[in-house]
Amino acid sequence: MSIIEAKDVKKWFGDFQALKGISMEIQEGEVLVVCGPSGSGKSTFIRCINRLEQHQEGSIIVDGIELTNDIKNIEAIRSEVGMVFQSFNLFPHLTVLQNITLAPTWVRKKSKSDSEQKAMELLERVGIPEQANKFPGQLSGGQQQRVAIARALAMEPKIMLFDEPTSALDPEMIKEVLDVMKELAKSGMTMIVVTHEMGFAKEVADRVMLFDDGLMVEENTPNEFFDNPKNDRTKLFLSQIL
Amino acid sequence: MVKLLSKIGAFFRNVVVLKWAVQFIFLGGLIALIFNYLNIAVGNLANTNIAFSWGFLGETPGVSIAEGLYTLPKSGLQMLQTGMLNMLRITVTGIIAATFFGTILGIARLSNNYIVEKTATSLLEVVRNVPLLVQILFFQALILSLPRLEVYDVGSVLFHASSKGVALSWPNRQDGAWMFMLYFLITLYISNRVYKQRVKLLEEQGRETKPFLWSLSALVILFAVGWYGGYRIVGIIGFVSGFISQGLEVLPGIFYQILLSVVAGYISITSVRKQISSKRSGELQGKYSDDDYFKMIITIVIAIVFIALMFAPVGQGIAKFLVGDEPTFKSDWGLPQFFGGISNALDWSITGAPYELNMAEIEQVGTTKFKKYSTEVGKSLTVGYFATWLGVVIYTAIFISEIVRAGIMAVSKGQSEAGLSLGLRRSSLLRLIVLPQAVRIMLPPMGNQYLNLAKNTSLGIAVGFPEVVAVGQTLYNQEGQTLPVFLIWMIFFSTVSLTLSTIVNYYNRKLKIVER
Repeated sequence: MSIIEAKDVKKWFGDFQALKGISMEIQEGEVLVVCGPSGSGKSTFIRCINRLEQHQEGSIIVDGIELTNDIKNIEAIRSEVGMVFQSFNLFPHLTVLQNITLAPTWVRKKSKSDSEQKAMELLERVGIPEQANKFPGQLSGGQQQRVAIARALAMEPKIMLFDEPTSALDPEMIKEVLDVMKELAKSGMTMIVVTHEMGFAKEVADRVMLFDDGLMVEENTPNEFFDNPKNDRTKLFLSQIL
Repeated sequence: MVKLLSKIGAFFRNVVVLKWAVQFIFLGGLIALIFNYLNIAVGNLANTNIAFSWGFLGETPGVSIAEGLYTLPKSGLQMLQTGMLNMLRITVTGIIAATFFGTILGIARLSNNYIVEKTATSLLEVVRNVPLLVQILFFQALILSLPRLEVYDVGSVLFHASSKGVALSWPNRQDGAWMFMLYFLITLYISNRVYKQRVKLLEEQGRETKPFLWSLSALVILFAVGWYGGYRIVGIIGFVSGFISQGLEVLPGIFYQILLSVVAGYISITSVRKQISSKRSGELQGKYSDDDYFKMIITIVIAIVFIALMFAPVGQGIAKFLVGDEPTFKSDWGLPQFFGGISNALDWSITGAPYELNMAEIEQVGTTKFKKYSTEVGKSLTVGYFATWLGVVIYTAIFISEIVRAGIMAVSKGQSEAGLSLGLRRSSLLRLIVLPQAVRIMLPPMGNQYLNLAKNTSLGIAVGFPEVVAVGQTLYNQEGQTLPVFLIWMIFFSTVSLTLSTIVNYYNRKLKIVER
């Protein structure tokens, strides 16, 4: 059963059309890597999946719920879909632990002790339990991004969206974040990852997509995508980044 | 010869020498300027045949004040106290109200709702483009257009509004009120301690200790005990004050002169030692810069000047004032009198409820047609009070709304997106994520607006609101003592402003985001 179904999704910013009709299906447990040049609409598309951007035509169905203007649907989908941003977006006025427990306490109405216990487990999982009582400003970029992943996981989402999670990191820190993401992929999480880390795509992706100019120009398995691309645009893209 | 000249030239091109020279020239110039103006002021006063005196503070001014602590002041001091208290009433309630309305308005300005946003924006444009004085006069005219007090209105009422202002039922202070206020402050402190104690227990033992319930019950029980006579326990403080007062009476003036000198000397020495140890402690062997030396020298010079002043007529005057036998100063100030006053106010032989709930009263003055709200029972708020209050509150709220808007907009969009993607509702998002961060940005400019509000209360003079500037002006028109009144104004407004900014700075430091 497909957990996300997008049909002919279109989106305009003023008179600029960012998405020109994207259709795709994602199965539960699948890891999808989306790549493409900047301005190709890949970020806009995954931001449409949890309604940070509003699509104007077509339909998106997440976990059986259609994204409409119904606030109840939007909230339901948002609490099922976790998101990790390029710029981490941790809450700087809260400690690491408070960052992680905030949503479970206020959205899921969990008790403080339960959510703190869960938060500590998640911090163990991303490898930084000793930073629990520090503030985000005291952590390195890689540590911040791992906290952001733990924060999203605390809501026990069915789907995780990654919007260029390693683009703002030093090369040394990229690995620690990718390791966490690989572990997550192996645990069976459904993931959509917008990234330029081709090594990651080769190793863990089930499918790779190339976006260009608001359209999906190629959809393939990783091996086919890198060794035997169907589209000329993909060949050009690969030749530029590899 | 040429060599010497070039040496002198080199000496004056040395930046260290230049720096010191500039510092000393500036300091000398400042002192000369102050002395010059003091000389001119003394000369001018002598020419006008008015001797500089504080005597008016003790004399009965023979005027009545429309509202406040003393409506028929017996001394200039009581008159000024009334004005100061009236000013503080508007400032404190005004700051709370302006913050509240300003925040709502600021959020309304950011609303996606077209009508809400445009209404807020139009209000903003009207209010901030019209002078505050005009707005205060407008509100005065608005209240004056209410119905007048009529004969059939005379009597007790729960609430009444007319062109004379507003009267409402109010708990009026009785003899024990001061004791009860002090008692209540102690109660608040105790319940706060209880709360912290229970929270500590919770953290240590991990069991539910209900800190809020505990502190609330402590507060309620202590309040009830206090209300029915328990407040008299603070009479102990009054008792001790009585002894202090008696003890202070035997101290001569020279004691205070020496005491203040020792304090000044101690402060300057500790401050110099601190400056020394800040660069040289343990392993640290930093070098002193010219600024460090200059600071130390200035600290010592100020202390020496202060000590010298303490044994000059200035110091003798201060000592006389503290001893309480300044002959030209007929009021009851002085340290023995101060503690004596505390001992009188906190007297445990006082009984009865500390407050009494009274209806407002509309009185007819004698057999005349003149009707007014009673100032004795209930609470009456005059037209002047309302016009000034509304004026400063709305004016300040508008500027606060812009600060709130800027503060919210300055929190990056990513923060909202992160919150939304976690499934938070917009209201929770605002309360938990955006506002706590925006407040940190808003606080410093907010402090400026609070200072503005405090200072703008002086415009109450235009609508007959007896705040400190209005009563001060009445006083010097009567007595001719312009300079002392100006000094009192300056000291009072500086004290209020500095207190406000200290509070704001305290919170600013407390809320600072932790960076590495």
